[in-house]
Amino acid sequence: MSSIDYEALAAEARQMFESAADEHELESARVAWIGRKGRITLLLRQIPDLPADERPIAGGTLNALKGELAACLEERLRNLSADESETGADFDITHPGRTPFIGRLHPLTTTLNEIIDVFREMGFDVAEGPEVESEYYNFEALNIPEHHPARGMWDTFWTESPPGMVLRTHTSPVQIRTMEHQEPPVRIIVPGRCYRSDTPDSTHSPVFHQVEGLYVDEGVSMAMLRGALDTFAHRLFGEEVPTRFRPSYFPFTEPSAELDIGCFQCSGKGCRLCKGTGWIEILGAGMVNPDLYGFVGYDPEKVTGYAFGMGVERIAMLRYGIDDIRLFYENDLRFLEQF
Amino acid sequence: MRLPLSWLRDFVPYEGSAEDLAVSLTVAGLEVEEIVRPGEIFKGVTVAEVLEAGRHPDADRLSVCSVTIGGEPIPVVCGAPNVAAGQKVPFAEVGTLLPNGMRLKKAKIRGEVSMGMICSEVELEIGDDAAGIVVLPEEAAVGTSFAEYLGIDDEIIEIDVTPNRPDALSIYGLARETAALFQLPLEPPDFSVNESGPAASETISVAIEDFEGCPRYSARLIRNVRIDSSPPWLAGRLRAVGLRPINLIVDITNYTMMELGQPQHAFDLRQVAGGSIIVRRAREGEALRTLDEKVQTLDPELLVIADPDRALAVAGVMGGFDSEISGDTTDVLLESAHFNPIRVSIGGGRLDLITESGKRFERGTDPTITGRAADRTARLIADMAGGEVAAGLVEQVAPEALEQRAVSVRKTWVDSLLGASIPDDEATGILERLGFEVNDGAQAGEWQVTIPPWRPDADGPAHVAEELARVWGYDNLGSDTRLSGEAAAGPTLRQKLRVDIRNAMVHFGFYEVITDSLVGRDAAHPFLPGSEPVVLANPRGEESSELRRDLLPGVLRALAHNHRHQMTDVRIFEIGMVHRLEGDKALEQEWIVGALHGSRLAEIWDESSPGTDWFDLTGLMAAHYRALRIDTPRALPYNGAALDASTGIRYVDDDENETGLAGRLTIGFAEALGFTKPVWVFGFRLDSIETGHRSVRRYQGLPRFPAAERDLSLILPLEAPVGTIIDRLKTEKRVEDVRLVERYTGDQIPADRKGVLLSLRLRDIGNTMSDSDLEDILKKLVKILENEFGARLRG
Repeated sequence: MSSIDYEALAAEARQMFESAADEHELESARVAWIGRKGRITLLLRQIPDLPADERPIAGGTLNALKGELAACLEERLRNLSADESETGADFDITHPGRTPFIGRLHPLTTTLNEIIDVFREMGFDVAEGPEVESEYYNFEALNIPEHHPARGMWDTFWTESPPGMVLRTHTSPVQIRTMEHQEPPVRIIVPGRCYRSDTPDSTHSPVFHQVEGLYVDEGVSMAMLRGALDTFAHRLFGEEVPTRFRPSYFPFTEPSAELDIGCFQCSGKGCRLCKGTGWIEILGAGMVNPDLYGFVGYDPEKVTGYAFGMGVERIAMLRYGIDDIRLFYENDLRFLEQF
Repeated sequence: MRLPLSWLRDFVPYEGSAEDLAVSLTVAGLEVEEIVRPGEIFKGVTVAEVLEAGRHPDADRLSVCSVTIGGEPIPVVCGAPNVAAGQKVPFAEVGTLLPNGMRLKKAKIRGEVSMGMICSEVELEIGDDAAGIVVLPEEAAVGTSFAEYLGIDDEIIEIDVTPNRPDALSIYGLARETAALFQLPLEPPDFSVNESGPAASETISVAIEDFEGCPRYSARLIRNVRIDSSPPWLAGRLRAVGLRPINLIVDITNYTMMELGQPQHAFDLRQVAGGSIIVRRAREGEALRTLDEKVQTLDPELLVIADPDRALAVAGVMGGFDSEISGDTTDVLLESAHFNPIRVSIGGGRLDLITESGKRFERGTDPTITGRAADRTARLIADMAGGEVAAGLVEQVAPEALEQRAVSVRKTWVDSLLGASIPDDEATGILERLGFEVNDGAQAGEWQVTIPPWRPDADGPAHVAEELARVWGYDNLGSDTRLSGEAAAGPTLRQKLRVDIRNAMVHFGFYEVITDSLVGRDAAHPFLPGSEPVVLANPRGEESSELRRDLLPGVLRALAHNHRHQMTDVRIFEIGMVHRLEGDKALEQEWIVGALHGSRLAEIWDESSPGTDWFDLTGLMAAHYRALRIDTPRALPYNGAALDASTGIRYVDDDENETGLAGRLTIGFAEALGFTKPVWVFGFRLDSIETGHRSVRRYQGLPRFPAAERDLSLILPLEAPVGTIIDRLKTEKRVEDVRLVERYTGDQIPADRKGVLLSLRLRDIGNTMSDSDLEDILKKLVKILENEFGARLRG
């Protein structure tokens, strides 16, 4: 046994560990040298057979070598794994990573959130109401009795079961529902899904979303309505956008109005988007018709109020330049990912 | 309503541009949709006279002509065989773009200069004759534009009239509006009429049986009329407002309707038994053949015009076929009545007819104008159809229908409503120009405002404010952006929950979708089997006949749409209302439903089987509940039809009410939708997690003593519930967290067992635990696992 050349043995072992190219070769080296049947392990096992004077030297040398090799193995392993992922020859800073999915909100939700934010900051609360509504709340209490010519303004879906209800044609019924159980001041906006039996085309969808606003208190004026709507228009369409307030007609408001914004495509010169007028209508509004107060027990001598309503789809289409309302309900990811 | 400016100028001397008028009408509440110039297509085409027409020296079929449009002779080469000197012809100058798209240039045709073109019907697109030029009548005036010659050299403003403005459904009403807006004089129509022959009342009579339905009925008799077609100017005006000329008598009644807003009807006197007009409700089952030749079955809800024998017309909607004016009519009974808008609306609805007449009566006509309108119509008939107007108007009227209406208005109230102060004299001026009368009211500062009879919508002080504001200009009211009033209450729990769910889902990589809530009868509603839908009485079609009971069909439709367009790695969700019938009520519930399909990551390149699987779904649900800071509800196996039995989960609350679902669509269901890979879906009711969510959380002190990590390698029966085991361990003292690290089956362990490696984090909040403490805890835990779950430690 004294014939063992520890130096050569150590050199051979070091060489094998250091030249191992990958984890597999390292593992082979480990098995060959310090595994259960490795050369050094076997040599260590044979120590009891050595002459007594050689045993300490052999034991010391072999154990030191084993320790050295184990340390070497560990270091090489660390380096190898580092090589592979970061600093090896195939390190590629452009290599695609493992990418998680990203999600996005629907553009109607984003638009609605922006609308809600503007009015929340003005002190409005968000109220909600049912989509399946009674004729009373959807029409009668809004000053639209049966056979009123204004009923023709809404193509209404009626229900068979339950019998005689309507799918609300606007979120205006929530005005009445709110005023019925709350004394003035009332300051709410009402987002929600609405239904009209329109033939679907690029600007009409039988299902759509509306945001309604209502502010009733002592001393609420039409100039305040204009102020709130101007603020809204400027927040959503830019500080510079001109607005125009124009008379219109709704049975539940008097005076009634529509708000136009200056056409942002042609800057008011007239184009196809604004039908040559330079203006684009964005919402309907007005002072609450005093007749409505009779339905909810308010005193029309004491309070006045304003109301407004807008289509979320229309606002989103104008903001994003979307030319077909049906895209919102198709949910094509190539569409949704753009917002 | 179409407003030809030439007609408008009969009553108001408006000389401004159509564009300016359009803007003024629009900002006063009569929204202009379009300005139409029908003559514009004939720009550059003029009535010319052919001065000379001679054979072209070098071409047999061509003529060398000279024409004049009033000035110097113009040389033109013409290829038509019918051209001849002395003809009046439509001539297009060089530079003209003809209706057929041809642009005329100066030309030399076989050596002869041609400075324009004499046009054929085809070139002008007014007919099919291409063989020769159009030869106009002798009286056509040389130099007038061809459009003017045709009577279409006009500007027509098209107005979208709101239902509250029946007065704007007439030329005269719009003239009144124009006069008010531009402060111009208003010239009323000529209502004078020459009467002759025996009194009308000797021949005709009027009896109103239903004064509520017909407060006023005026009639005139015109004898010995000639039935002819209308002269070009009359036909032209009717066409300009969108009406089709029929015959002279009918056209004149339509003309005065458009002019004054008062619909009228002409009966052939021979067909009115005894000349007796009776206005009454229809009898049950009574039949009437209307002008459109349909036989209508009537009922007492409808008001009819009748003679003693039978119904002749549905009041205000449509006349009867038998009593209409025909080619041999000689004597005309002219009706000019005021009908109750509701009665006419019911009639139009029952007959499913929208007529020009019905449109006006439904909105409310002027009860005071019936007699004058009949006078004007009778006069025009006499002028154009040669009839004699019998003396006297025959009418019945309910006196209260003619009463003036007035409202009391406090000007200070108007000013505060508008938030602006319109000077008193300006205000009274505006109202008076619109036909309102303003007098001092009973109290100081109060006005008594008389409403003109052509404004049935006006009924209170708010209306008066509207009239003032719209003429004063809404844009002049100012914009008050000061905020006042009480602070808002802030979002409700549900509104906050929606925001949190949306945020969580977006963070988990889901796109939000919004889908149609109208679905077909056969739409699947797998999450809510056995429910009854809200069904529409008047759906647009089978595919949209009821409200969705379940968000899943819409979400799957969106998924399938994307799948068809090669987008297969998709995660989407929707939050929305679903409806179902509960007794005789529509029950509304808010759900979130999501679907996962395809890859586990958006981009992945080093995994052999990257497809989304069951553990992705359940992990997602757990993460989602954790994100909302609520405990994952108890899961039970799903036993419905929609989800695969081996993957379906029902989440239930403490009372075993279903709160949510998750699992894989059954293969059959997925394949029917076009999917070949598994489709994973989930959904839950928002109200099931609303309470407790977002409650204010109390801070827990951070631990001061270290935790120890220990692994437990267990062999378990195959069916042992790992999640339950983890939850059970967590209930033990000092067990801070337990995670599944590895799960294995195979050669190393018996076939009816599985191996799991759990990593435990143990901590005592008051001590650093010693090795022996830890050993004691682990021993205890192993004991629990052995006893309760048949586990044993792996050797």
